[in-house]
Amino acid sequence: MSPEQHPLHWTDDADLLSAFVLGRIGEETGRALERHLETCPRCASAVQAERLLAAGAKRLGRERLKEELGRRLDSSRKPVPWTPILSAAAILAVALGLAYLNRWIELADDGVPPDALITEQDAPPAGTSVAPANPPAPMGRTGEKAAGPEERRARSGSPEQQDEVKEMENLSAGKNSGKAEKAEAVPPRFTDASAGEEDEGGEWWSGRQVILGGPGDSLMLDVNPGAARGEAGEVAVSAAPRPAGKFVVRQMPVSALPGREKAGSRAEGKSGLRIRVDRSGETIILTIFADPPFDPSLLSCATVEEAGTDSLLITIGGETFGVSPVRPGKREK
Amino acid sequence: MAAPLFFLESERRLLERVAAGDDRALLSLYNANWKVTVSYVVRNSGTTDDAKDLLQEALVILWERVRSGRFEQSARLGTFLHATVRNLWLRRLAAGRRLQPTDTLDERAVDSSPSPLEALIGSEESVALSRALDALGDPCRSLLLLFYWEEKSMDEIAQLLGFANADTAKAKKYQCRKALEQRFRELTR
Repeated sequence: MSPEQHPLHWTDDADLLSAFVLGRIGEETGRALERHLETCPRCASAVQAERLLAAGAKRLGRERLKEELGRRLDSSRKPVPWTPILSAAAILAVALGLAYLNRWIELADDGVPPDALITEQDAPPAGTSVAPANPPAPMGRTGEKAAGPEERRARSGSPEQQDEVKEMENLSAGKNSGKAEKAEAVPPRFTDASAGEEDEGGEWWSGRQVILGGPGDSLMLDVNPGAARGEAGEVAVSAAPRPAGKFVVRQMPVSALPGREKAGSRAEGKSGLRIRVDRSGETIILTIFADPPFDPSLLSCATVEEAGTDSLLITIGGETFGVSPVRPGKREK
Repeated sequence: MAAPLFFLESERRLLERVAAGDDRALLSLYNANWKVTVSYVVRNSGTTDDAKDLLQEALVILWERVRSGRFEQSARLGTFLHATVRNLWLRRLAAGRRLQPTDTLDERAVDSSPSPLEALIGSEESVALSRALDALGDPCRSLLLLFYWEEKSMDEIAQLLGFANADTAKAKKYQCRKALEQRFRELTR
């Protein structure tokens, strides 16, 4: 009812009272009501009580949302501990990764010796150069400790390497053999996609952080804070994202990139990601080179989706990256 | 570089996600505006913790306005957020008298005429009332938050909380108000 229908106490109308306090009434009506408040203590008291209720509710709502936002931000920006953590399962998992990595390096033609790659826990502080001597093995997918040089030498040799590659495939497929029983076997996140190609060698991909649109959107906008102001990259997709099948996500520091890829990564700036994509049967192995690195615990929860014929969307800890091949259609040997 | 219209179109999609309750959109906005915010706040007598708090508060205000249907986008979201951060920070500086001799406080930049409701949100009474509301628990807490914070209609509230119709939701709201008044009196005794 309007103030005219309640000439004495319009605040008896709860709907009108709420609308007035929340600013949901017309300007003219609002002015009329305010004039009445100047001369009616009962209505003024009712308005003040309603305002207090609304203020308390808004305050509580804002606090709860702010807390939730803070929790999500803290969990996505947890610092990575670079100090070594010893575990037998970690050593085995990293040794398996090294065996696979050695096979990868042999296929690369960039001339970087295997010994130049370093692991997460041996990464030097930011700003220092990487010493090629005494490099431990690369990290496994859950951040386990690397094997020392002696262990790597003990595991060298083709038959053992093949066993270890199979072990790694079993790990990514969720199976657990005797050798890897201490390693943390994580089951594939998605059901199988179509049969994978034969492994002909890995590829270098690159990408940037993106904001996803709604389902079926054909474009995404790059709004990574590291990008230059006004810069907008696009990752074109031809269809709605769909799960990419079996995959393993791991990371290495940017300093471990081979020379040519390091130059490319520098050109992209902090907003870019460099990724090595390898396939082992039906499993996609993604090695992410990023600074600052991701919290290792987030990698096991990462999702990977195909975003078209030549793009992937990788979501880690609430951040999504659109990635595509550096040299599409060409494989590195 | 994409045309400016493309930015607004994509921001419209971002706002749709906020309106739909997808708080990942807020995380994206936080990441996109963090550097600008910390740069401004630190240059103006603040710390990175201040910047973090202010940006979160600005995002909450954006969320509130979008969800209540009050937000009209007339500029880029980053512009809105930066202006909100600026207003919040200048208000804090003025209240805490943290201005340095070289700083200037442009009175025009400060939102010096907040609404009576907005002014009341910072009061001790509203703190006490928010505690009483939190202590009520559901469904009253959710109902009153939906009505007064998200400014949903009774029809929407009935649908969200599973009431038979808007009249039933309205009757429940009346009961919840009474319960809240009782709890508030107990807390402030």
